[in-house]
Amino acid sequence: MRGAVQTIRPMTVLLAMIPTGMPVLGAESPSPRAGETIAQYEERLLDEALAVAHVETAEIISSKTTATSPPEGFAGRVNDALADFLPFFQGAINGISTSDDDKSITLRFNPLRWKSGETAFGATLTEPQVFQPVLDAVVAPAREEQRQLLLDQVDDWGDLTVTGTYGYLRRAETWESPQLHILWGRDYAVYRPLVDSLLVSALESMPPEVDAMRQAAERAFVAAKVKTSRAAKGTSCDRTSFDELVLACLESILSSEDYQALLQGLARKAEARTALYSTVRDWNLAGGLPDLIDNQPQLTAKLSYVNRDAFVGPDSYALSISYELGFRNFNSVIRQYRWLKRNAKDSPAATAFQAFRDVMSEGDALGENKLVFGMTYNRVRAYALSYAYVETVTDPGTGTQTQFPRSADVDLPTSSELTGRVQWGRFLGRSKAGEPVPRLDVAAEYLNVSDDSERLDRFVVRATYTHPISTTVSFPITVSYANHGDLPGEQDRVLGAHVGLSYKFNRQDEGSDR
Amino acid sequence: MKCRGTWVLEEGERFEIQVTEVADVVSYSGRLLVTDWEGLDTSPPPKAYTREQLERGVKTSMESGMTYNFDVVVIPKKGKEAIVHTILRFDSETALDEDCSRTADKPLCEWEITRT
Repeated sequence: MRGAVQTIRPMTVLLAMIPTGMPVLGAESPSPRAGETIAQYEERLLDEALAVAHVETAEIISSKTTATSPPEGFAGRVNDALADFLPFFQGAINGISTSDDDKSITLRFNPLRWKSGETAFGATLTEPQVFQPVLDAVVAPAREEQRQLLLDQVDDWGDLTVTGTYGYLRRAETWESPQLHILWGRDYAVYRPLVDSLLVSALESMPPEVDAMRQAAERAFVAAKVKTSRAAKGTSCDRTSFDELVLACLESILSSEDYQALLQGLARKAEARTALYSTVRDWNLAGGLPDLIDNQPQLTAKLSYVNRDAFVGPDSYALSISYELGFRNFNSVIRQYRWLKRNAKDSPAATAFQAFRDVMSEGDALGENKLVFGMTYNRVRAYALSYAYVETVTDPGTGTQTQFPRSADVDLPTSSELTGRVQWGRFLGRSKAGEPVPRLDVAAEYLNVSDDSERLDRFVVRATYTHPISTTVSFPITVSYANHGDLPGEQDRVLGAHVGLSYKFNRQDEGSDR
Repeated sequence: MKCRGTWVLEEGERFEIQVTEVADVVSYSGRLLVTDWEGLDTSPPPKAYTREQLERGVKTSMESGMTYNFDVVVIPKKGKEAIVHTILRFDSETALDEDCSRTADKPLCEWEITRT
C-alpha cells in the first residue's frame, strides 16, 4: 500500500480537479500536501490557526516602548568553581545567575517565609578591581605593572556582597476571606489561591457559542471521517494519506462530496480552534494576571555588607528601604470584585473573572503607571593602606635599568551618604493595533554626603520622554537639573538635555507552537 | 516538549490526565469539553478543573461516540516561559509523559481523546 502511495504522488495534482459542489476550504486555508495524512493535515491546520491567533499578541508585546535598564553582572570562571560545592548546599540554594558582561555572579538562597513576609538572602561575587585611589597613589609609569601585581594577590572572593532582604507580605486564601482587602507583595505564591479560583471562573465563562462551534466542527469532521474510512483500506483513518483519498475518488470508492466534506470538517475544526485561541487571547489572563501582580504594592528593606580585599577597597554596608506601586494592580481586581459582590449580590456575573475583565478593560490598564520611593543609607569604613613597591626606570641613552623604592599611601576616613529617590513612569496613551505609544519617566534623587571632601550634597531631577518612531526605533529625550555638580568646584545649578536614538532588536520566535 | 496531541481509544477504556508544575508557573487550570457526535447530542456540560485537581489527576471513562477535548490554560510568571508536565495514562499504557513550555501569548495546552 505504501509503495502504491509513493507511485501515485504526482496524482495529487488531481486534488484540484475533483468536482466541487461547495467551497472546499476558506480562502486562506491551505490545501493538503502530497503524501500528507489526515492527521498530519489536521495538525498543520491547527498550527496555522494558532499562529494567526497569536500574531496580534506578539505584535503588541514587541511594540512596547521600553526603558533602558542596566544589566546584572557575573563571572563564568567563578560559576565553574561554585558548581563544585553547590551540591552540598542544594537544599538551601534557590538559584544562581550570572550577568551578560561576565563581571559578577549572584547566589540566591531559599527565602525564609513568615506570616507577614519573607526574608531572602543572597551573595554576589564581583570581579575584583584594584581600588582606584591606590592606583592613583602609584606613580603613573609603574601603574599598569603594579595593577597587575596587585590583582595577582587578590583571589576571586576579593569583592563579596552579602544581602538580606525583607519583603512585607499580606495574603488572603480565598475570594471570600475577611482578609481580602489590600494585599501586599509580589510573590506569586501569595496570589496563587486567588488566581487558581479566578482561572476556574474564567474557564467556566467560556462563551457557549465557542463550545457550540467546536462541537459542531467535531461532529462534521467525525461524520466525514467515518465516510472516508471506506477508502482507508484497513489502516487507521487518521493515517490515510490524501494521495490514497484521491485515488479512492478516482476509483469511485469515495465520492467527491465525501472528500469535500472531510476537508470542510477539518477547516471548521481549525476555525473553531481559532475561536478558542481568540477567546483566551482576549481574556489576556496569561499576560494580565502576572502584570497585575507585578504592580502590587511592595515594601522592602535590604541590608547589605560588602567585604573587600585590602587592595580592592574599603568594606561598606548599606540599608535601603523601598516602596513600589503600580496603580493598576491585583488589588484593583479585589476592589472591583467586592464592588460587584455588593452591587450584584447573588448575580452569577459577580465573579473574580468578571472583576478581572472589568479592570483590564479600563483605559489605564496598560499604562504601566508606576511609582517608586527609595531611601538608602550607605556607610564606607575608614581605609588605610601603605603599599611598598619598586619602580623600574630605564635610561633611554644607556639602556641601564634603575630601581626606585616607592610607597603608595592611601588614608581615607569613614564616610557615609544618604540617598532619597522618587521615580514615576507611565505610557502616554493606549496602543491601537499594536502601535507603540510614547512613555514618560520622571526621577528625582537627593544625595546627602558626610565626611567625604571629594563629593557634595546634591539634588538631581531627570525627566525622560521616549517617543517611538516605529516598533523598534525610539527617540528618548532627557532633561535634567542638578543643584550642584558631583564634585567640588564644578558649576552649580546645571541644566542639561540629552537626545538619543534607541533601537530594539526583535527576536523572532523560533520555537514550535506545539 | 509537547503541548498538543490526539489519541484514539476503544470504548470503555479509561484515561487519566495529570498536570504538574515544573517551573515559572503562576497557576494553571483545565477544562473538559465533551462532544457527542453519535446519534442524539448527549454531550455533558463542560467542566473546569482547579490546579489541585489536575495535580491529583482527572480520570474519565471513554464512552462510545464521544470526543474529549481537555484544554489547560497556563499562566507563566512575568516574562518567563512556564513549564508544566503532563501525564496521560490509558488503561494499559502511559501515552504521554512530557513537559510543555507555555508563554503569555501561547498559554494553552490541548489534548484530544476520541473514538473512531
